[in-house]
Amino acid sequence: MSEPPRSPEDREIIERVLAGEVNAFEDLLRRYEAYVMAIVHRYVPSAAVEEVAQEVFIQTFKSLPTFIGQHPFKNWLAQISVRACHTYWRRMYRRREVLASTLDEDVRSWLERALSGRSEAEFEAEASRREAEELIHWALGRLSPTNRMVVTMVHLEGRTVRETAKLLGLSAANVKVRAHRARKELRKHIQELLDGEGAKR
Amino acid sequence: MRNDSERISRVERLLAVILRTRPAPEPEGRWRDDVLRKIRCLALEKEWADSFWPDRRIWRLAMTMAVAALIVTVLALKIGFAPEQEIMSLLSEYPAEFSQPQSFGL
Repeated sequence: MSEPPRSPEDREIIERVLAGEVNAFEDLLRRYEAYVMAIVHRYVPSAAVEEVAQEVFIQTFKSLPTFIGQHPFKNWLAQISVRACHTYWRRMYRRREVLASTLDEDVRSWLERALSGRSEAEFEAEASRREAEELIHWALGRLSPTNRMVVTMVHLEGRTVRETAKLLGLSAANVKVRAHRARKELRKHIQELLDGEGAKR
Repeated sequence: MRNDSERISRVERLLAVILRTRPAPEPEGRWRDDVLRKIRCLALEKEWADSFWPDRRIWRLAMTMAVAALIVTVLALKIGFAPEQEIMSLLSEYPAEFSQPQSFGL
């Protein structure tokens, strides 16, 4: 009985692409498209995921000659993905497309309802609703692009300072300071929201 | 006050859960085709640029030679080298009849 065909290693595909076989890049794309989209989706709105994921693969293709291969390709791709999300927010803030929007009354009443849930399962049931997405944008939209990324990665995702620093290309000390300040700022905005001021602004 | 802090922490937890559980969009065939088309365009552009411009090493050599020539010229001007003066000073070391044709009695 013959052995099933072995799928080529990332390194082999990269070497083929670098040798001029551009179509081999499709293998990398198919292998990692869901992975990249899952990363990007954590940091940018659903409507922008495809656009940012596309930029990630284009940037990856351009940077392939600089891929040293000391670490797995997947880690390198994660780094490019996180930085593309950071760049997306910097661009949005520069164009002033991030609006300090007010929250609708229905989002505020949804929040009250969600907070009355006790268990993680009850939280999760509420998390997939439209209001959840609005709340995320409202809360994080009040932070600077870098602080937004840092607070999401460190406080909401629970990544380590070192890992966050590496993914964003910042120093660990910088991330530590930002994480502290940004969380304080985020909590202040949540406090305002709970006091009923968030909707008035 | 403590109650406030607790409620804020619950909102933070809710935000974390929202981020973790939002379903990511599935990549579509059209999206993939679009990415591949752009990448092929990039590869073609690169190929064209590589074939149009000479090898980088040639550019580097040409640039080095141009810079070297410029440096030599600037240095020469700086030390006051003037070719005519140099030739005249060499001629003045010889007797006048050597430097003047009519002195040969022609």
